[in-house]
Amino acid sequence: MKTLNTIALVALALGSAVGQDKVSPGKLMIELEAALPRSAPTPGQPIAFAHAIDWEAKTEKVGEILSRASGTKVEPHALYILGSCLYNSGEIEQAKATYEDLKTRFPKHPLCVTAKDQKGEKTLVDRGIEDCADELLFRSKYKVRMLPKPELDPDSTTTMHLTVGDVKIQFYKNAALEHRKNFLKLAKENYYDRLRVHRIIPGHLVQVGCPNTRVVDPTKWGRGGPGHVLKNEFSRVTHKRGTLTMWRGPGRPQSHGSQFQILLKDQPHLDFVQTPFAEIVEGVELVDNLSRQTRNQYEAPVNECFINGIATPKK
Amino acid sequence: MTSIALRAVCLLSCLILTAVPTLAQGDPDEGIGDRPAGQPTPGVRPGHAARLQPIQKPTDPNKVRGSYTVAGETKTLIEGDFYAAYLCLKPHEEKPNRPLQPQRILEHVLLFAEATSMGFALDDTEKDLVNPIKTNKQFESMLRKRLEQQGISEEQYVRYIAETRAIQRMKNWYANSVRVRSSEVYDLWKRDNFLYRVAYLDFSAADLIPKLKEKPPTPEQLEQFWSTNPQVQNKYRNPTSVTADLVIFDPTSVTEEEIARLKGSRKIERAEALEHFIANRDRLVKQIPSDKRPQLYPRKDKKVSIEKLVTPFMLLRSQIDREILVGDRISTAFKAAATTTNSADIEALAKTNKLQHIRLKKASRQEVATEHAKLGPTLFTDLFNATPGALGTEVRFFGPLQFFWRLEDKSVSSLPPFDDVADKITDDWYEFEAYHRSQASAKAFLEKVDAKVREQTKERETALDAQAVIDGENEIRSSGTKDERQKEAIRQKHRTLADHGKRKLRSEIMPEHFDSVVAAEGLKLKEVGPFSFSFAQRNRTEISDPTKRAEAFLTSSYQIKALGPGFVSPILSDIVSRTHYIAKVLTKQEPPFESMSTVDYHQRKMAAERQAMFTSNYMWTLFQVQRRLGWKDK
Repeated sequence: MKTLNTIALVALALGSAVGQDKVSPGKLMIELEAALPRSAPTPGQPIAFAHAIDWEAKTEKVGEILSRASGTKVEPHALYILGSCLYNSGEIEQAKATYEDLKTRFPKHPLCVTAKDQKGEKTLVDRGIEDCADELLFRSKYKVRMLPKPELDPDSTTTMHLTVGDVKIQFYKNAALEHRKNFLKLAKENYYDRLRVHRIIPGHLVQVGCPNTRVVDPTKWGRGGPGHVLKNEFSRVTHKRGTLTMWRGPGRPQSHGSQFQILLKDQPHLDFVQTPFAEIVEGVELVDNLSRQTRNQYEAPVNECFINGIATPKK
Repeated sequence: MTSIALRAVCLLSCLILTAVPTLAQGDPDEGIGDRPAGQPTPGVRPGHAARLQPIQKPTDPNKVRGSYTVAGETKTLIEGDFYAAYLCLKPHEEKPNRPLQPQRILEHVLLFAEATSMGFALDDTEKDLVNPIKTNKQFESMLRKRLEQQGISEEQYVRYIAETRAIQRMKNWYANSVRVRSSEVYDLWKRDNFLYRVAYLDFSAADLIPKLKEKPPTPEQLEQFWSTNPQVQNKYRNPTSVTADLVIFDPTSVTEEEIARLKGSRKIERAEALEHFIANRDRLVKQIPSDKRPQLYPRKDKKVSIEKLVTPFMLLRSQIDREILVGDRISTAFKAAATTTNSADIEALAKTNKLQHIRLKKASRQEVATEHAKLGPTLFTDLFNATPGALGTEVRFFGPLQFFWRLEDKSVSSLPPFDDVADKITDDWYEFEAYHRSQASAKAFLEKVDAKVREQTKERETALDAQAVIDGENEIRSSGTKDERQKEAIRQKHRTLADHGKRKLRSEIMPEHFDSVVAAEGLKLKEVGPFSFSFAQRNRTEISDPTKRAEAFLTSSYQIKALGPGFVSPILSDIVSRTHYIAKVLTKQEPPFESMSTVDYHQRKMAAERQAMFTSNYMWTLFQVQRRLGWKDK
């Protein structure tokens, strides 16, 4: 179905633009720029990795722009971006057809003539065609499986009562299910009740869930666990602001059983390193504010903050 | 002023700040070179002064600065155009005391030329769409006025926006050209997931200990062990410590009755409290109790009337009052402490002023850090750096607490005399001796293999050495070098190459001799695998089965990972299990693609993508763009 939609979009884009409202090419180009799946990373800005991008939505958007850009200077650019979107969403044949069409219809366009790839050997379009051909060949030999797109489960809304206020979290429908089960089980057993927040990094993260934090001995905070570890459950969920991710100690291959971090900044470098299992849907600013309190030498807030309880969802 | 008007002012100031970023002050034509000669630019390191010179207006604008080739067409850059580009960038990018450098201007010119050749330059419609003067009619006059004040023409302003946008567009297109192939992902994954089968010998220290215990060490052996072994010395070393008195005041601990009594005698006005709050704002705001903080952030869904809205000052008011009312208590004690001479006096002083007294008696760094964490992370260091007998220089604040100290004594870490530790170190001696004897056994085994290998390779190794001498002399002759140091460097290069050849030769022959020595010594090889390389397990001490412990160590050994099939490893020492291993790689196979999990696929894809993005970003440095466009200086 998805493939059909894509083909229809491409066909629409490549066909004539009869009956379409005329939009200025300049405006279309600006629209296309805004619809780009990623922009060149700048210092301090994290990279947008492919697994975290909704390629299907991007393909649809770029296809829609392309359908209006027929016969304008924007058309080859939109075709090129559409090729990249199709490639990354797994529609390799479509992507190859798009690049080839671009090359056939606009043989003198800079993207087909002057714009060379990173190695300076081929043009961007030729490189696109080659990448697609290589990928098709590989996929004819091997079956490449992709992880599903993560979705939040609105029925799983849970309230975490912190000293700083209540935050609402939601779990994923199709990712980190064992982590979700484990978290809710511990919450039901009142495991998390009266645990201190034992690590804060201003504007970055807040860490909690160590059972040793029930006792006032900061040297032992961060070292306790529930007595079991969990297998990592990596998914396409990216570590963004508001994500709850199960902590994984340095050098340890498995997820810690109970300590988790609440991220306050996008940190994609943690993707496929730690297991994100839930997201804050309400109250992230309270946690942000908590992270900015005075810390002691153990990185714990001087003004103690507790989890007062976790209200598990009815379902 | 109404809230709408306030919002409009905020929006306007934001817009101006965004639209005219970092505009430098003054006439753009003037430069900042009108400082008297010989005086360094303020804020610039003296060594950099020569490099950071402002760009001067060219005397001959038609002089060619250099040439480059873009889209097959060779173009020249003249000084006039270069200076025009400088004027375009200067108001936006030049910082005070840091003049814009020619490299940055050249980078901009070349990148823009490249972007234009790829069709990324903005046309007139696009320029209008990205020009805030045209898109925000409401603030047009204000923006124009601001540009006029900064001495920037609208044309220059639009040129800057359009050119930087075109360059950014090109970079973005390349960022969107990053495609990772599955074959690359597979290659990356393969490297970490070869399947190994390994045969190994283990030399365990634990096996030797019972034998060693049959003959305990003599006192002389123990004394020598104590005097020469830094690890054992560190284990029994007396730690660095301090003896001091701490006097602490916690304003929150003052009873309500006392506060009420003090309030009765003195009324604190709002202005006085506010002054105290402003003077101590940073310290105080961080002390707002966690349970009161949510009041500062009312939720959208929970309507709060304006009367119930609170500010940090309002939340802290009672604490501020307390601090003012009882604040002089610790300062009085601090002043009086200057005359005290011993711990008892300090204690009495604390009691008189209703302050807490803590006596640190030979407290180590660890003890201070754990038990007195509320007084800040640097307490031990500060105490240790103080002069014994002296009072701290001031009353300190950490969190809500105020405190001062007097250091009585401090002692640096020292070694106890041998007699004090003689009884304790016997077990250490057994452990140490067993570890080294087992290592020596492993070494002796490898030497036997080596001896056999050398016996066989002796002639070929001699030939390699002789060839290295000949090759070295030939190269010296052909290069015509006369310098003795250079000659020696050439000879050394060939000696190194010969050594490499010898090592390779030995490695190739070693496996067969390894097997023969194992058979001759009557040792038994154990096998592990097939396995793929994994993370080191930290809990190896908890594994009681020696075979499983060995497997846990060997499957995470980087040295084995680097070996080819048939190769023999050097001695691999596992400090955790105190065992030494010598391993031989029996097989090393490529893993099938089907065994790669979906997560592994995505993980490696992300690694490949990160690398590709880095390369894509690296394209835009001046060096790279000069190389691409064949820049030639005139």
